Amino acid sequence: MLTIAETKFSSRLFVGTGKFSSATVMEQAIKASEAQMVTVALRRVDLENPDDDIMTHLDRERVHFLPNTSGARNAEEAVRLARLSRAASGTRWLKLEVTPDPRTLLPDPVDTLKATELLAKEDFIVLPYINADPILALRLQDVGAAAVMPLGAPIGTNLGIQTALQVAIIIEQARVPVVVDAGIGAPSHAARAMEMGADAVLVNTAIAVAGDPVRMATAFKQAVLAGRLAFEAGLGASSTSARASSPQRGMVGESLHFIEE
Amino acid sequence: MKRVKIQCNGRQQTLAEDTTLAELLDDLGLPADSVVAEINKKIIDRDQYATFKLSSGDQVELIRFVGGG
Repeated sequence: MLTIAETKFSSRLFVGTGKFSSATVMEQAIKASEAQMVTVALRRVDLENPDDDIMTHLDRERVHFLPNTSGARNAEEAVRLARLSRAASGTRWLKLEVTPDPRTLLPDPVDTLKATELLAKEDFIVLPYINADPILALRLQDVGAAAVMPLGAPIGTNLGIQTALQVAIIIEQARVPVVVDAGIGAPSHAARAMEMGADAVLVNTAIAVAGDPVRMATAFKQAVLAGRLAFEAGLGASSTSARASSPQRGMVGESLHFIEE
Repeated sequence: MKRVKIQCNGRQQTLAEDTTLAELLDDLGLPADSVVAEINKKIIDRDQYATFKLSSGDQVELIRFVGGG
């Protein structure tokens, strides 16, 4: 069972709530995913459409809330959003995102470290979104991160685990849970992260923009279960040369050299 | 009657004097528990909405959760 900051989760799939075509589809997809951790963002109320409130579509009895600080370009903005998020929801949980460049949306490691330290001291449960940097991951857990969220590929790209080597090192060294976030575009990507030993994955775009988001949510649920089971079962070693699966003796056929021996 | 001019989510708004934050939310059709209010970059506790009077020049930010990753 996954434990983050002494909270237990029976599902290792976290789901984002952005980009869904409707609130109903989002609700059904979350249900199908069986995710217990759901991310949300904070924005100004659209005063032209004041009725559009996502909270009415999320059952906080069933899912844990993980507000993010998306849109923050530096530590100061992230801290401001974090405090607003706690005031709005009452939750101490936070996915810390500091992305100075809207083109790449890659996280700023220096400001992420700064903000994590400060927010951990304010008693936030901080899950920082980071580039897949093993040294940064260690530094973050030293200053109080409750988990680390290395990216597989840039946000929304669906490119899979491009950072596999670094993610593997992060997993090997981590004392806190590792949640692979961003870039996971297909259930096979999620399964791969789980096979590598990731503690969980966060998926948003790949489910939200799928032809049928509800069925895709089920596919991701199954992929995460399969990947985790494979990790626990222990994968066989890989090799660059062939290793026959069938016995190499007692073949049927006259011209086969090992019968003639 | 005296009026106060505020900025609400970047929009100029003119209110009657002594309008409270709770009344502003009510006018905008926003349930108080669905938003968090920041005035001049300071978060206002929900239990103060009914007594917090807006003054000219206040920068009001009304924020809520939306879908996100």
